[in-house]
Amino acid sequence: MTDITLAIAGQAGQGVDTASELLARTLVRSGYHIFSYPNVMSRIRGGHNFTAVRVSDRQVYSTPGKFNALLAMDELSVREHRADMVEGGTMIAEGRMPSIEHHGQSSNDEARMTIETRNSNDRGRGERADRPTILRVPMAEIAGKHGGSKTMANVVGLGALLALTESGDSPRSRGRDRNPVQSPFSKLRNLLKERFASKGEEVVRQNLACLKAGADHIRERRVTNVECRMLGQSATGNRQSGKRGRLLLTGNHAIALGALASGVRFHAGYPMSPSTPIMEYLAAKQAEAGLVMEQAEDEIAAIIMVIGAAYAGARAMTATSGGGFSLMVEGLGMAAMAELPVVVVLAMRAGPATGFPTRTEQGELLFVTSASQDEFPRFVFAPGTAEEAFCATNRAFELAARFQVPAVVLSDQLLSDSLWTVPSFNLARTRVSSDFDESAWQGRPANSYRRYAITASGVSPRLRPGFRGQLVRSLGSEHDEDGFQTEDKAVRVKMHEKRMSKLEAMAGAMEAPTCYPEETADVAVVCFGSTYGAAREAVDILRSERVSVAMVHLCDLIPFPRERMTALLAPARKVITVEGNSTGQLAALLRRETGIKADAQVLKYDGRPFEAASLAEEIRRKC
Amino acid sequence: MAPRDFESNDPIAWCPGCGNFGIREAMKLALSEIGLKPEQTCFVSGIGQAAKAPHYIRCNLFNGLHGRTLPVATGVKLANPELVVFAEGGDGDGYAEGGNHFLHALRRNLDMTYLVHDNQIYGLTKGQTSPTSEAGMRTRTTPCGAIEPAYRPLALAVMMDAGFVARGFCARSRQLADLIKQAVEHRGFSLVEILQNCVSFNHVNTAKWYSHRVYDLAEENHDPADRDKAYGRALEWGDRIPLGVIYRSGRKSYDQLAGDMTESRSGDSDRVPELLDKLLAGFR
Repeated sequence: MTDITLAIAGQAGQGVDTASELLARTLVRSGYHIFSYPNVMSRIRGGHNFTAVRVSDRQVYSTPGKFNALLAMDELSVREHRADMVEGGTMIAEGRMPSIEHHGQSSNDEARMTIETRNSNDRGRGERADRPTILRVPMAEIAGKHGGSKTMANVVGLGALLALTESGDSPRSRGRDRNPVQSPFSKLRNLLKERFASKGEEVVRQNLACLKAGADHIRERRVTNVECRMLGQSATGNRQSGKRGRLLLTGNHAIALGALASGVRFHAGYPMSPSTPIMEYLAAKQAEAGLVMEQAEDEIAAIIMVIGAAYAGARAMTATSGGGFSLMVEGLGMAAMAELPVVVVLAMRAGPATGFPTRTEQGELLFVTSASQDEFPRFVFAPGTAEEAFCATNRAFELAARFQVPAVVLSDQLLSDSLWTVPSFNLARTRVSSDFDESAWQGRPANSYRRYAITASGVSPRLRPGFRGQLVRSLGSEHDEDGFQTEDKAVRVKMHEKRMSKLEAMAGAMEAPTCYPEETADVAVVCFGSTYGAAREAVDILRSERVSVAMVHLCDLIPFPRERMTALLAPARKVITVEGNSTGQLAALLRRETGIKADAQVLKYDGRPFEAASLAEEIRRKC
Repeated sequence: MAPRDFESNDPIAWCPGCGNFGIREAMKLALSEIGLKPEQTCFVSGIGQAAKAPHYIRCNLFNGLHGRTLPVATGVKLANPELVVFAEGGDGDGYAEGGNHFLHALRRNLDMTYLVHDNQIYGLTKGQTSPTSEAGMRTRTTPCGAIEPAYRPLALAVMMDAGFVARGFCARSRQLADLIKQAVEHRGFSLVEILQNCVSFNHVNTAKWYSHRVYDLAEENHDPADRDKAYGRALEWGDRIPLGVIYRSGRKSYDQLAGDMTESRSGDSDRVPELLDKLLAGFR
């Protein structure tokens, strides 16, 4: 089994993001599964960013561990990540390689590291160097020479990195791809051609020249990395290309696509990391998809515009992070009072106020379950993977429309920003229902429409304003069935009960928690949202050590699946909750809703995602 | 339809003598004369005495939160451009709580009419200072007199090159109805500010106070296309207060610039699988 990690690090502005996306897509097209997580600072230039791309021949769900190879675009990256390298790992770093003769004499740090640069042919799996091999490549200089600009240094670096995946045979054969269709290197060549085609032949030529020059720099040194070489050998190539090929996308893209698959017609939003790519993607697809994307003056305006659009008949959404959601809270209540379906994507980051703007956490669970004053029904979905984010977004639109209530899709920086490999989305399972039955209103007496008519389900028929002979009156104030404001206590009780009566059917419409790999075990690990990946892989690790453990993951969170959770957790000897906050909000919710008290909790609130291996260790200690 | 066909059954909850009654008369007159049917209109309001106004008119209605009138109207218009959209509220709703939305609605220039009942005081909450209260005005929250100078929203609208800027007066329903008609006919964002007395809480700017000061711009050869002159008129306040069309801009409206929105919204759910196939190809 292949499961290795290639990382790219450098300053903001050095093309780390672009290079890692190109690397990930190249490897997906070569037949691999990817999980790629960006570690970025909230700045546009400078600082230190890195993205670790986990590559495997089976589906992977969580953040990478130690790096097998690192492309270090600056010196800080070399220092910062030395401890992150596996034994025998390879760093490709910006700079000139000291000449061979000086290796033995030089006392400076770089030379000592370079001494450990060995031809991998000399070294088997059992005799690895303690410290990483550091290969110096003057990326900026090569980029200037072959690309006319040092901004292409990242492409030079990619060439060098991918050269590590080639076999270490004779220099002659190394210069060419033995099987041009299958090698990751040729996949990247094709990708660069596609990517830069619109910028003209010269830009394509420069990029390809940079790529080759970077690769040649490594090829000449006859250095390879054992794990990386396996990548080149096991690549399955074009089997994965074409229409049935795997998708490589972020959680944000999956959410935006889920909205488009649900017939979204209106999006208003205000930029806020890590949710912004959703509005950017929808803005780019406005004409093609037939929707309006409006950048609002603030998050208050965003959700209120969405409510106006929903009233007018459009499927409508907004996306934000915790700070923006805090501003939207009054609007959320108005959607509930006016009984209008709106979908709000809340991509969590760490901390109150501005906190860690580009980091991940799960501290807003209890906030979102009760945001806005008084009581009203709402949906909350917390998908665990990109695939689930796509489906849950569709469910959010469908169920919000069916019950005429607000729905929140709870993401976080880990889910939203990571690049995921998805086999493909199951479009057969997505639904776009019609929200209006206008034919039922043809020929009815004028002015007979009652927006808030009491029905057995608590859901009143909707009509678009503008329908001939009927008026649609929607209110944020308490109102009667016709939409007239009232202060009558009996009407208040009747209308409140009408709204709340939807809850039971709402709970019934939700999907059951995901149990992995089976429903019952001695230990139940309970989690929600993006913790799915680390928890699932931690369960795999523990089960390989014969620990009886299973994961229970909640995507469809609110209304809380009381009966299902009670039944699922009853046989467990121990219930351990795992979540990204400091007080155990899921544990509190579980106890409030079912009376079940978690026997132990694993909590994390440093702004970084859970890692499978350390999570397995923590669970083991608490078993 | 006659003006009385626009009367709703909702019992009116304004004080006797309130300036809002005159505004309601003008509104019924305008709707009747434009020739609209109630179902073609959509009135959006927030919270305040003025925000109650659409309840007393037969129309499609969205009555939401204090200050959030314009964003609702924006969403309605973007999602259903065929509706004739009115946003209606008071000085507190539009200039204080909704101040930022006002600024951006002026920039956005969607085809809608914004009616602001300006009585220079908070009525629903019983007599606190407003953004348009004159400096020195004593209210329940400014017992020693308001420290801040009054806001001049019409001047801001001219500065922002708003499409149509006008001022009416609740006691002159006929003129006000004509201004509302012109505002609806204008393609783009139209601001109609309406001077209104508050019999319960504003004992300075009474109906008589306004009557002695207002004059009609139409009688003074004012050219609404002249932006510099319009700016001067928009700032004019005190002994003389202008009524009528202050400014008209040649600026194109949002829908004119965005292309045919009706076309872009015509996507139906049958197209979804085809669209998704195409979009997913971009991620392979």
